[in-house]
Amino acid sequence: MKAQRKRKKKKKKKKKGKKGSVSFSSYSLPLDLIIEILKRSPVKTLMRFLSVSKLWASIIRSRKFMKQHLNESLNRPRGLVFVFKSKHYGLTTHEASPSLASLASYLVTCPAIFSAPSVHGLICYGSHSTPGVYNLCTRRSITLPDLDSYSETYITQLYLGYDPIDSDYKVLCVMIETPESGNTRGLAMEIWVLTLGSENSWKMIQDNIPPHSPISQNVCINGVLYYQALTGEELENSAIMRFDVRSEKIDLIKAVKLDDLVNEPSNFRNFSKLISYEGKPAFIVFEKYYAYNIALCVLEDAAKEEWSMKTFVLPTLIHRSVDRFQRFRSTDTKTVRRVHIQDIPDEFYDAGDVYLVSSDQVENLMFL
Amino acid sequence: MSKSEKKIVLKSLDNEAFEVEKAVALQSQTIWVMCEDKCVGNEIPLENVTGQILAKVIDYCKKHAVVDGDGDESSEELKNWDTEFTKNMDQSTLFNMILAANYLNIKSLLNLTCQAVADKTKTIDEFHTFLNIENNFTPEEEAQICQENLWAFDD
Repeated sequence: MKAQRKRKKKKKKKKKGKKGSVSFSSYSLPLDLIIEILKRSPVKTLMRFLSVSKLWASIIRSRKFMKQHLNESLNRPRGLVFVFKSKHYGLTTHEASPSLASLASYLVTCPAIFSAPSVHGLICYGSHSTPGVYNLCTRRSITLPDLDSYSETYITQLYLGYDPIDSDYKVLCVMIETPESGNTRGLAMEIWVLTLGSENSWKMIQDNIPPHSPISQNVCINGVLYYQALTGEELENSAIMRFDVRSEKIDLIKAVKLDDLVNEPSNFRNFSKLISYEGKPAFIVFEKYYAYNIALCVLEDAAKEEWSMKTFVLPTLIHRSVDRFQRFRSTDTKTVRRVHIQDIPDEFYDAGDVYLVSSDQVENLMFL
Repeated sequence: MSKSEKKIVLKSLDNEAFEVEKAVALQSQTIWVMCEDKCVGNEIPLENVTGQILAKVIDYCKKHAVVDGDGDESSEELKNWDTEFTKNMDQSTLFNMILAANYLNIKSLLNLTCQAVADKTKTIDEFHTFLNIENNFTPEEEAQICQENLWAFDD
């Protein structure tokens, strides 16, 4: 590259100019290239850019752009969210590098205590009273529209799912009959769906709902929302409900009996947690006396209702928070990486147990 | 295209000539189409790209052509190279790289440079310097938007 270098003043491109035609700057990126940059920008930067111009604000707030931006974010490493029990605070961290050498964290004030997992940074909260969805990234929430069926006779259970094909979020509201006595569970009677951002009213799923009693444990994987349920005459059997977020079809997958999986099932607690394991839904079952031993029942094939089992031993330090294990477990070696998260203020240590850990934090613009 | 034409000459806006392997240049969809249509000879004039920028684009294409060719170099290594490549570029170079990548239609370079600008740009002022943006908000409107998103402005 040794040819003579005659610097000429760069000609202004004759693309449609941004605004007006008089430009003192030699750079005039066409709008489509500006969008290419913006969709890769962090939410914090975009919130600053809202005041750049009316055009920029309308682009950033458009539904199409939000979806493009989310799709870019989903290609990057996910962050972690911690929500602490006794304070309405959350803490989110972002991985700066895959090596986790440095973690940047920031605090958010949440409007409610969450128990549901975050789906790409959105968390559904509430039940009967003012249900809403909170965005950990923009720190804004929306209140969901009223549902006519809300009534004394029903209790509700909310789930949040994501359809990666249309980039749509949908809230699932399961109406459960109020049990006759405190000890029994009610059956799901109606299921309603709301698409966030494009619809203002709920629609009821008309299909036959397989008889089940929903449990709050849920996880959304590749456009399918799974939630735990009990089935059978006496609601004695464990099952997973499988809701296809796009087609809005719901079906039931029988869960494997613990007896068939572990040698001494009586040593394990019935309580289980639903997580995503290598892209498949899986139950975590804790051992009764030593919480360090856990069994993982993985749904290998939903159509055949095929399950497999793995057991793990956790180091004592982190047994309290199994989601962290899920995140930092290395797939093949059964090892656990310990990650030291800095910048957690002392008050969080006083705030009691971690209520919720979610490893699915991405840059998300919804409800800006 | 005959096989003897292994090399190709790219000529920048300021008449700087670069002789490169065809495999390197053909990563540009624009050049690929030009060659395919036989609408150019062995010398391709690129009217929208300065020599200074074209040199960098060629560096990028050389690196990526080699890696795609032998497949031995890990993608990790390539990623690191990409990071280093854009790390010390100033905003004005990056903007020109984006324009060049867009004009030459090199998708991966466009992604890389747009991501670099997105990562580096934190304030509105940085954009104002390089883009001719007219803020059509009234000061009151602007203040209100900032007020609504106050947390985004603390560092």
